[in-house]
Amino acid sequence: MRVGIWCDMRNPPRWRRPWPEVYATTLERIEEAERLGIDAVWLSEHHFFEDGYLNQPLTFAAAIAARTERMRIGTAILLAPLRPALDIAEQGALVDIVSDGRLELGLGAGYRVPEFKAFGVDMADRFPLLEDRAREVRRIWDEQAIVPPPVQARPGIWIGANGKRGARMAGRLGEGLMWLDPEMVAVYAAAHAAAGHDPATVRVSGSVNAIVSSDPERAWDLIAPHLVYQWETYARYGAEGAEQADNIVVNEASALRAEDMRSEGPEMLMPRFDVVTPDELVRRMRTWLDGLPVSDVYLWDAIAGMPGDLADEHVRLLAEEVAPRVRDLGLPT
Amino acid sequence: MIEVGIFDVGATDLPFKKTQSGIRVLDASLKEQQAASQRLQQAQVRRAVLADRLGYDYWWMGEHHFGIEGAELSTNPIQVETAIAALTNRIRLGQIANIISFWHPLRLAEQTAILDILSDGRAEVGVGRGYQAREAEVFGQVYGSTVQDQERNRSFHQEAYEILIKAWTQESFSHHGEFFTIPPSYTKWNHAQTIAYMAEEISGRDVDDVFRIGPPDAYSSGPPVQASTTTLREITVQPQPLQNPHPPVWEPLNSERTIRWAARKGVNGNFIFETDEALKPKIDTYMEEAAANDWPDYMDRGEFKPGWDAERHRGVSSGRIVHIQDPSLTHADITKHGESQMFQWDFFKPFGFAAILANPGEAPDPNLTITPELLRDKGVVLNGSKQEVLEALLGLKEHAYPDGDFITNIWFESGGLAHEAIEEQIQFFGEEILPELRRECGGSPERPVANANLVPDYQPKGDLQETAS
Repeated sequence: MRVGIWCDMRNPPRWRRPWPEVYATTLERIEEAERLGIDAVWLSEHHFFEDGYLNQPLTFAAAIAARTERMRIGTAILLAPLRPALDIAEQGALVDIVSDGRLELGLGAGYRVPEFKAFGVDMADRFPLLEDRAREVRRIWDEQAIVPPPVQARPGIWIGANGKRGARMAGRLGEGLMWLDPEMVAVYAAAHAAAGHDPATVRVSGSVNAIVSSDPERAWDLIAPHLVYQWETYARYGAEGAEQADNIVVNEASALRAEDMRSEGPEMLMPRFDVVTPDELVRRMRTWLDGLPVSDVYLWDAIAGMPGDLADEHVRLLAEEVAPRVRDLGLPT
Repeated sequence: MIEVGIFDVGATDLPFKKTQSGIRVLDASLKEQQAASQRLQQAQVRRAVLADRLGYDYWWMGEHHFGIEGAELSTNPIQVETAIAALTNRIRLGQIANIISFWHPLRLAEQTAILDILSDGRAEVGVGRGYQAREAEVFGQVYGSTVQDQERNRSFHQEAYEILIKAWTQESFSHHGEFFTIPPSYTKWNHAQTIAYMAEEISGRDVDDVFRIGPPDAYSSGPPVQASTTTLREITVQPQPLQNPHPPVWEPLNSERTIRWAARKGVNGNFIFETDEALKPKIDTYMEEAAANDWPDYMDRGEFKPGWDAERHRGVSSGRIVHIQDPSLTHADITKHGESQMFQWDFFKPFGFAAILANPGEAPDPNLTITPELLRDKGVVLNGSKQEVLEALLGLKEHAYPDGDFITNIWFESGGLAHEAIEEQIQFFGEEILPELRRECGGSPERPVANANLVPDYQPKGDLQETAS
């Protein structure tokens, strides 16, 4: 499998740096990551976050394409319902051309009310729309209905939706499942086979929620405020506009402490997180991912504005001391 | 438009076995049944919360008592739905049906009003006459109702319904009927504070409306409230429902007589599981009677679309028993569900429910031999793949609701099935079939988010609050 990094471009007000500097240093970090052997870079999407969470992944992907040569460039995920399929197909094709065939297109359904409102899309439709978009983009690319078409005959499309619904959808479509829950992999594979797709194309990918450090306890103390900010903004923005009634179940999350977010894994799936040594990360990943048809894993390059030197160390340790010891897992790539 | 609800009478999760005579009975002691009944209360709340999160439009529960056969364990839908109200945002909460003959109508009025308030106006209220003597005579002994004399039962139902409406809508009222005199003529209430309040203009009533003021009584003693001949003429029931003038009312429908009664009364109707072919003429009867009586309606909304009118919330609903088979479902098992249905029918058949399965032109036969194949062929049990279930429901719409909106309730639970199995079905249907139905049928009405203001702002402090401020 491939080991990648995930850049969300967060630049929180409390630790604000100039925007051009944030983008310039991230591009440098990505180039350095490629030099060190990281196999892929992944980009996600949100709109209207106060910290400038990346809102147009394919645009930034094109910039990365021009600055790199080997690593895969993927979205994890692009909010499919918010755009016409043709738009996704064309922009994706351009990234694939500038990168000479390195695009991976991860698509998701979305969950934030203000994002849907801003783009004038009915949130109630988001799962059928995700499925429609994935099917249509594949059709446009297969039939070469746009000029220029992507370089790859069949760029990877991933369905990034959790639970059985996401697994069934990915299987039905014959695309990849972007969710590393071992229980869902079986559901995905069964749906994939039931829809008559070639079993050789079964593949899963996803995020590993961990930061690597040679001194995890010191790093934890430095990272904790950034982690709390990251989680708090996810919770706050996730609930925004959702008109939550005052149900007694809603208030459970309010008393969360930073320490509560630490998890021993081994499955480092959202919302778990930890700061660990390279050895420990290797141990957890091998336990968790052994036997799964995983082609790609990716870790955040940084947590919401955390110190750059910690982020650089994390990427370096990931490339030099983790990746070589886990690449044999999953599918050959 | 389409609206989809879930119907749940609370079948047991205990296993059953077939006896030598062929009847299926619970393979459990009465003590084990108690534990099953306790599990069921929690299971029903979980299912309803799940349904709310998945976007189902309604959650309906039934009311039955003293059942030791295992088919229906749900005894108090209003109470359980009040718990559900506090845990849900959008789903409407209905009872098919509160058996009005088991209640003092004023209790029913109060408790349904409380449900309506705590759910922020999401109550739907079903009122039924009852048909099971075991429960009806036990409760009826106190209230004077019965199911063993149908005419008496209908009279009671009529009067109790009238009282329910008065209690829900009138500021201060009395009732003088065959079964109830409210308040009884001998009710002493010589309470100075009440009398003083009624004497004030702000109360909106006169003292003489509410009291028969009498002289002190030489033969009465005790507190001043009773040492008097002053009696009460009217009472006020509080609280009244949030919905104006009251929650929508539903009647379980079956015979032509009940269909026409409901249409004339302007209440909505619920058909349990008539076949596609049998349902259409029954819906036509309801519409015909409504039209012939110039569209009776407690909100005077006039004519409504045939079958169901989603905007006006008027018409009649249908029901289907569903069990989906899909490779991703761990518990789905059509054979097991079929056997489970036979267990349910061992309970329901002796009441004559098989007659409901007759298509137009067929003689209703309460002694019809029930098999899983028959139920499937009749189209009342929909078991099969996602596509088969979806098409069957669209077929129901085409047959019985061709011209208006469509409303149907899905019956997922069945005796002997594990609670996890039922939740799995509810989730699959909600994620995979409901969105497709909505796409085919022009969407569902928008459900406002309830906010009954039940939770104070105070929250224990965690790290997240520190950051947010």
